[in-house]
Amino acid sequence: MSDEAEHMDLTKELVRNAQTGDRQAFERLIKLHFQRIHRWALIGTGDPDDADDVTQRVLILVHRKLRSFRGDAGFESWLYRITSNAVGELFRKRKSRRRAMDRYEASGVRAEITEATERGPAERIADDQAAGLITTFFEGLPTKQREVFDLVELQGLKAGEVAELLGVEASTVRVHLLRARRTIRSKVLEQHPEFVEDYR
Amino acid sequence: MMRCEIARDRILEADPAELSNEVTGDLAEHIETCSACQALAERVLESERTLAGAITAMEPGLDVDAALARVPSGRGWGWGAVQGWRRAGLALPLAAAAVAALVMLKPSGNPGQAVAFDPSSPVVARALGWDRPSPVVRTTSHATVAILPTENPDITIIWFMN
Repeated sequence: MSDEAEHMDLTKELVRNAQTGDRQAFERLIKLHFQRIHRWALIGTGDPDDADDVTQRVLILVHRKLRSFRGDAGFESWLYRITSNAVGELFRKRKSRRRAMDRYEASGVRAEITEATERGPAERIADDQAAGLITTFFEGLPTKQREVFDLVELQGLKAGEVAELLGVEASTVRVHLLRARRTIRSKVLEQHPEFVEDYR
Repeated sequence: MMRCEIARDRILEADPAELSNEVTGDLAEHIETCSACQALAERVLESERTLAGAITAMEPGLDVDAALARVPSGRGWGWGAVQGWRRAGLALPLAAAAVAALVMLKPSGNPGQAVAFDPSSPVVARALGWDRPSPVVRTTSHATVAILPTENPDITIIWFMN
């Protein structure tokens, strides 16, 4: 049996057991998919701290909703939708909080902003560099295009597999992929005008 | 032979296999014979490898065990129940009651003294219906203010702590 098939069988078994309230099965299930959830969150948000927040939120949502998972679609598709919705929820909250901050700023109070973080300074710098790269490439790219680009171009999944995961047609995946490639590669060209010069 | 302008436009959407000459075709043929387009194709591939490396290298900042420890045990209580109340339109009255209860727990009626309120406390967060508070705290010489988002995007709570 292939690794992928074993992974799917194990997931199914863990889902079944976790649905009966088996906490250990739930934890094993999460550990099996933790990196994947975090990567989706990172691609969706483009920010490591936001990705952590979304990942935490997804864990809570999975725990709450797992009983309602019927298995019609694959567990990963279900998990992906939860993560994608959590990213959307984060952005909605962010807008709401930004509005409140703007109103607060307008009231004339000046102060420092402090936010809790779980990382040390060294990790923060490394993360900031990587996050800067991700932002440079993904900025302005719609979430769906980022996700498709990551799944196909960077992780090497087939368009059909991505279509199943995202719950869309394979042709839609290809359209997103081509648009994402064009946007990202155009940025490479902008950063390296010498290539453009060569054509003049 | 394909013109460079056309090749450059095709490179923007081409499959990496075409850019690295792993497959044959008119674009791959052009790239093989044109040093400028070859340099562009290599640059594109290198950029994508860099991006892939950056994403892969970015480990989660939170440990999976620590994250799991924040997931409530059992079922039927906690978030599920909170959502039920929310659906029933009871979330706001509940939040108001929780805030009122916290205010009443203060040791004196003086609003400038000893407010026992920690916005990062999971107990407080649960009482108010947040699973994970992410307060922005602002401090001046006169006051400390916590700004907390709620599930409702139209409602944000601003808490003056002293």
